[in-house]
Amino acid sequence: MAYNVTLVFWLVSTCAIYAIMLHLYRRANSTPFLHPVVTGSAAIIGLLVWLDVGYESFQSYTTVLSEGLELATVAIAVPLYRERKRLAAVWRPFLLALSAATIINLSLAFLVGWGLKLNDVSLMSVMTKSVTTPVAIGISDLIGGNASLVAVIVISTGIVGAMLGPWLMTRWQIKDPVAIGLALGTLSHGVGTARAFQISPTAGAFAGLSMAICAILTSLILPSLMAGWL
Amino acid sequence: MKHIVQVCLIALGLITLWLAKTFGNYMVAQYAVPIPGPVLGMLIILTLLLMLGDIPRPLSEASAPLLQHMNLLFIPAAVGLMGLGSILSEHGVGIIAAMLVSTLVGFWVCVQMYLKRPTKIETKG
Repeated sequence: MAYNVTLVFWLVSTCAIYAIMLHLYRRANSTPFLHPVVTGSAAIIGLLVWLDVGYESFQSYTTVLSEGLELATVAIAVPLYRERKRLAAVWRPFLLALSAATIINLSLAFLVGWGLKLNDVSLMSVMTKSVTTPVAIGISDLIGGNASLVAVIVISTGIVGAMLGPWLMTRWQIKDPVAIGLALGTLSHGVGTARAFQISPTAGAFAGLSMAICAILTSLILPSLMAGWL
Repeated sequence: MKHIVQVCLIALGLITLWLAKTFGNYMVAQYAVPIPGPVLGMLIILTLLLMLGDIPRPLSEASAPLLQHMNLLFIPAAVGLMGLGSILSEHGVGIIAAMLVSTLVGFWVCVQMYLKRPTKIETKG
């Protein structure tokens, strides 16, 4: 009984904090510094520390949200279906750009991390940064990363991409919603996809597709590449 | 009455999504498919939609709130930051540098490769 009460308390608090942070974010014209994942998780960390609750307990109270994330991944099929005609027209350059960006992304993460003398666990964890959380954790188990470090790196990459991506697109004068969605989904997975849906449904659908293909591509190549290194 | 119908539609849609996800996870575990279960589930639903030629209302009603509030679903993973003090104090700078450089260059490569495509295809904004 007490467990259920605590569970409901943390679920309701998480949703309420998210709702408040989303409201603030919208009031501030979606300024990236107030991204609800940043402000929301900061507020929850504060609350957990204040009430002296450990992360593992919080994680067990909020499994329904992690479950929801998997359902949301499946749900991307709906906007993708709506974009099927546009996808049929652009699939060739789309796949080419996606593969090139993924390979450059992985190589640079490896080279910079290796150059800065990261230990193997951190290096392997940082390599998974651009794929969606459940996949990243799956890959990191294969190549020897640390699951919670992976989750934090992946989410941070998503937030950085969701903050900087649209800003860069404006600077580079890129208006094509397919290109914006492609870049956001490939480099910053689900958080980028959530951001792309705020730009337009087309950008969101292509971000979701890019996230999926990037996850497939990375899970196909990264474990075999790293087998040589370890 | 209208609300009851909508709640039922959403529930039905969520069950469909859950079945696709569970089937995806099962296939991945059973046959060592190298992609994650939910991504496989997404591909299954997409295939079904293409075969149907239309989006059934339960699916459109259930997917809308999930996609709109995806950020809420990332919060539990982001809170994991609180237990990583020691590894981040030692390797945090390197991790952030590797992440920033590869992400920013990745963005550039991605849009350049896509927009400099050989065949010009007009896409409407």
